[in-house]
Amino acid sequence: MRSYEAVSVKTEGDLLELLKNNKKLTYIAGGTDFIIKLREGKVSPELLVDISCLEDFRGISVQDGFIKIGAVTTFSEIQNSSIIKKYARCLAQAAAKIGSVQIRNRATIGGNIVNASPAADSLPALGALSAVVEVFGVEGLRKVNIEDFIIDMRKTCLRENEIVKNIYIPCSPDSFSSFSKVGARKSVTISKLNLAVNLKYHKDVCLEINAAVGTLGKNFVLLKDCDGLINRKMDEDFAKVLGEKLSRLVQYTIPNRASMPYKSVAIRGLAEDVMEDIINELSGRGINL
Amino acid sequence: MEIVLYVNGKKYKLDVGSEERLLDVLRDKIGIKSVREGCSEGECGACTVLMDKKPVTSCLVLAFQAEGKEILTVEGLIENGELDQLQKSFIEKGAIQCGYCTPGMILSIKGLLYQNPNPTEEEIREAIAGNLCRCTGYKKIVDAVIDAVQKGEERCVRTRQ
Repeated sequence: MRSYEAVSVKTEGDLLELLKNNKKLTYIAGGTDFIIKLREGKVSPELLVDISCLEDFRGISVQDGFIKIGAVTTFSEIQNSSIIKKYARCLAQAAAKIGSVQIRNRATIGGNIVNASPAADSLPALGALSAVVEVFGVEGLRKVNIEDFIIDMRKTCLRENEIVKNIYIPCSPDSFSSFSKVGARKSVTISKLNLAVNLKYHKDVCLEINAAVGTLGKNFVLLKDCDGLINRKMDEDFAKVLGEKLSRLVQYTIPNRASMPYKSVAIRGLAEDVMEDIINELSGRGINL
Repeated sequence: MEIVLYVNGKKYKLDVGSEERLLDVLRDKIGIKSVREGCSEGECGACTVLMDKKPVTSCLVLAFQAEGKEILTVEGLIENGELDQLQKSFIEKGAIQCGYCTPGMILSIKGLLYQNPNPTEEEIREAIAGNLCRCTGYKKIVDAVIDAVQKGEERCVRTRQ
């Protein structure tokens, strides 16, 4: 391994000073993916900047109808946040399924987004929730929709020295969401397939639905064909119709992949799990369908 | 680069390389061999330590990132030469066979008990999902935790400086 300089930044001001130096910066937050790549020689930093203690980029709050999540917020913090559990339930569920307690105590949401793994668990949840990524750079802030953030296999739209600062999620009191995944085992497992669904309902009818499937390619895939789901009663058939649509989406997205026959069936099971969970959650809040 | 670590209540000033992991520093610079390198990628949990009371895999923390943090290893659980209740319960309930996973296992459970002094079996299993054991089948480990909690959870969750 080539030696490199390293520094920890504690404030946004420290970071801005570094950015002015015109050096190429490589950022490390929780390090749970990065340190493995570093030791494999897949990354060779010139100046490694630790942002894991950058408090200006941490925390969960509600502002002007949006949930704001700082990029270095850990998955343990997300999993246990009452705000996330209330308004972005699928993200809390996805966070709880990432790695182990030890990993979740270090791994950050910003890191998971930037690592841009096709099997990332936070990404479909953020996709279903229509999240927006706020990017910080020497020229200021810019916002990018989560589905546009990943531009190719393990590649993001971040330019040199740019960094994710916050993630914004619109919070709506009549939206309900859920996440489910299949992996080789129950815990500490990489997703073979994952699904997040976020829907808006009124009375017992679905008004809007966003479904995002992970592990099908460079980025999660959003379900666009929602005919037959909108203004439909959320009964048992609802999950079946959703499963059918998602199954076709899988077949269409990865027609030639060896895993297609498996994934196109498994996705129906995930659709059933997710809808059962949403309906349970609704009835837990006194809304019977 | 120079960092300060508080390991088992003792302050250490250390010169570390930017590529050195917390695991390397604990083992090679401080000499704590209970922190073990298994998989080196955060899967096996043998290198688990508590950092500011939270379990982390020390193979996935660069030493300079731990600057100023409080680190606890199993050695820090011993008080006046006496093992703490969780350690005793591990021995009494046969939760140790080869012993390789034990320090990490105990620290993951400590992390749980700090937050939740009276966990359910499911919560115990979730807390140790990141610690692999090839001997016990986990059953005796869970039994040991339940035993320790029953015999005095307050000793398990006491705060150390």
